Amino acid sequence: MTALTVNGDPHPFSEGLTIADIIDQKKYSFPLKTVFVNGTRIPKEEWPTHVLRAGDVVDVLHMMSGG
Amino acid sequence: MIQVTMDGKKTEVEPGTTILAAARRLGIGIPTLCHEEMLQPYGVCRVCVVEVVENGKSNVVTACKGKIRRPVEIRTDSEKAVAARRQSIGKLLSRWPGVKVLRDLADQYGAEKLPDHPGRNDDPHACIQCGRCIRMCRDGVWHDCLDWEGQVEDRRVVMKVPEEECVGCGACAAVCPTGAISMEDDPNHPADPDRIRRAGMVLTREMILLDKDQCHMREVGTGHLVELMNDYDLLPVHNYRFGSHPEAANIASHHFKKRFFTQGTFDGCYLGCDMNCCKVAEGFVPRTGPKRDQFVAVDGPEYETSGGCGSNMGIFDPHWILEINFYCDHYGIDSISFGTCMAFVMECYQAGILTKKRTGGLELPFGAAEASLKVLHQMARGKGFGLVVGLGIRRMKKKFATEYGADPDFLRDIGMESKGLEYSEYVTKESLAQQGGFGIALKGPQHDEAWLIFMDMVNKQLPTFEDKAEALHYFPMWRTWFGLNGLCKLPWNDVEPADNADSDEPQKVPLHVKGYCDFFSGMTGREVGPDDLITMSERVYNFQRLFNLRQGFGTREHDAIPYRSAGPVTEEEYLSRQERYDGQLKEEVGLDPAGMSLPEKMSATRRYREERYEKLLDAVYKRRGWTKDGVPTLTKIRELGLDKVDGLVDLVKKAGKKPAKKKNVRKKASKRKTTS
Repeated sequence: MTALTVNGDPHPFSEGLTIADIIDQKKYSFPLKTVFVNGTRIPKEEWPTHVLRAGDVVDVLHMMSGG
Repeated sequence: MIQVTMDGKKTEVEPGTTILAAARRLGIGIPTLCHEEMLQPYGVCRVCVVEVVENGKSNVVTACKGKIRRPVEIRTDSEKAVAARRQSIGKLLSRWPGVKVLRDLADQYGAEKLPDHPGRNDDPHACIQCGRCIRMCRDGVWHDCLDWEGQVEDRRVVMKVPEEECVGCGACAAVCPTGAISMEDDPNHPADPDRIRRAGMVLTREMILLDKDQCHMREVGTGHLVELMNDYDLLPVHNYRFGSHPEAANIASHHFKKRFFTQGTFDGCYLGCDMNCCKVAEGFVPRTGPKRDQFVAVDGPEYETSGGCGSNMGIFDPHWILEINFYCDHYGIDSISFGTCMAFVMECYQAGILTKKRTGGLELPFGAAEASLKVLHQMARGKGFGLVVGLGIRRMKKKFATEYGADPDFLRDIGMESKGLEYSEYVTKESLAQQGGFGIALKGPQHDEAWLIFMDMVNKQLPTFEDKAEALHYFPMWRTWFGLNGLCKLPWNDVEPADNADSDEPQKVPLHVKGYCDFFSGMTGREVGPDDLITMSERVYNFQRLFNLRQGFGTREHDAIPYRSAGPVTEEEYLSRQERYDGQLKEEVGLDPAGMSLPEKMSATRRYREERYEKLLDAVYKRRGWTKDGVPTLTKIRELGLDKVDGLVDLVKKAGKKPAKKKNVRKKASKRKTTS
């Protein structure tokens, strides 16, 4: 099955999948995070429109807080 | 999006964008005076006026307040705009000719004093009535100490509350454009007060501009972590057996905010802090105990209290969490220890180790809120079953094994304590680095020494033992520095600079680390960099480790953790994350789970995870310059200058002669089944 990688784990790919979809599917609700696709940082305002391709490596880096 | 032309440049903006914001995006300079980006537009000085042309009609409007709602042409430097701006500057200059910022603007735009506007005074630091200070105090930092007094010619800024109610945060002075407000020197005589205030204003600015889109610290404090930890399967549920629960939504921070909190009240923390995360449930009415049916004020709850006295005890009603929070504060009992102790007691009750006879008639399954409060009241009075729970988990384990015949291995697995301190409220099973963060912490498993779950489990930024060890060196040392200096950790990373992600090491929040360096240098006059702060901590941290050693602790065996911190103790826990655990056996251990029974899989998982924890200890000790038994080496203590402290060299030499004790690693999984 065609897939992409999200934080090191395989994730199912579908046509038109955006970064915002990934964040929703993975329940990444923490607000302090940064997204890289194939090593390039994607600004937050582009998450809903940035369409991913099969094989993309997506890193959603969560900063620390709390404690 | 709306098409806009500004000084011949075309751009598109969101409807409602101010002209000033659009101009700054295009790199077009418009002067401002009363405007401050942290505050709502005021539009009183009219220095920022521009010409707006729409359908052939021309108007002069203030750029700070004027919003773009239709396609328009904007001219910031037209003759009409500049003439209006010159007029505004001229009026102000006539009144306060000595003020430098006005004279500079007059020079820039060729403005002169106007004959029909008499001068008020020649003071170079005159108040020009821009209102920044009043708005900053009220809307920016929520203190609301300043106001206008008098009319027109006599108008001036006054303190509308008794002077002692001003917290001295300095935000008003920081935004004053003329120096009319200045801070008096601190009686502590810091070397460079302005440097400290500049560092502090970085936090103020971020809290006002960014917090509302980040962690909402000013609205709910760390309580926002309840819903987040539940989403990430990290919220302790039923004595850390699980990481989420459907009813956790009932104790999400917005419920507390909506139903209980008063914002911006005093909760005993530093009043001048602009993070201002204090919130109080005023007018709360307890249903039990000595304050029953009386109005009281509750400070909190923070995340740890909601996690410990809520989900971990199976309580998902905000009222009961607040009531336990209140009585813990009232009695001087730590709500984390109480929550973790009660979660342990509840699991023991459900497992049949505790009975109504042994609890003095109390039924204590998960979710028993009123019975838990009875225990809390008994604990405060030193009576009944409260006296037993007040012993803490370490002593309860011993008592339940020796007096009630409970399985000591099972109790050791589920009793969430290390070094005698109860665990903080995070599920660490899937983050080896965080298991170390709790297990190796000098004071016991307390969350303020290292919090690495996101870096390790979610981001997967720490793939090797060495990576984890490096994080378990840097972050505990860095967090120790806050304690050394009496500073709060929250401003470090519970709000972050907008461009933090672009820094070399965003997890360290480099701009804020620099701010702490500025604070230290500003206080002491001694220039320091980030590495110097770590060295300060390392010296104290190693000294503390040696202090523990002298007291009979401070070695590897005392860094052991209960197995539930590292993996599934019961079949129910294994099955709740079976896919994860089976996957680990297959991919990391090289076993085929398909051909294994559940007990076999649990034993193999346990063996693998316990061995990894021991390897982690090896890596961390090596990184910290400690022996395999977790004792600082002579080389390390000499490097830190601790060899000059009487007795430490002998202590380390003596420890080196003792063989390191191996942790008692169990090979069998518990067969006990408990129910939620």
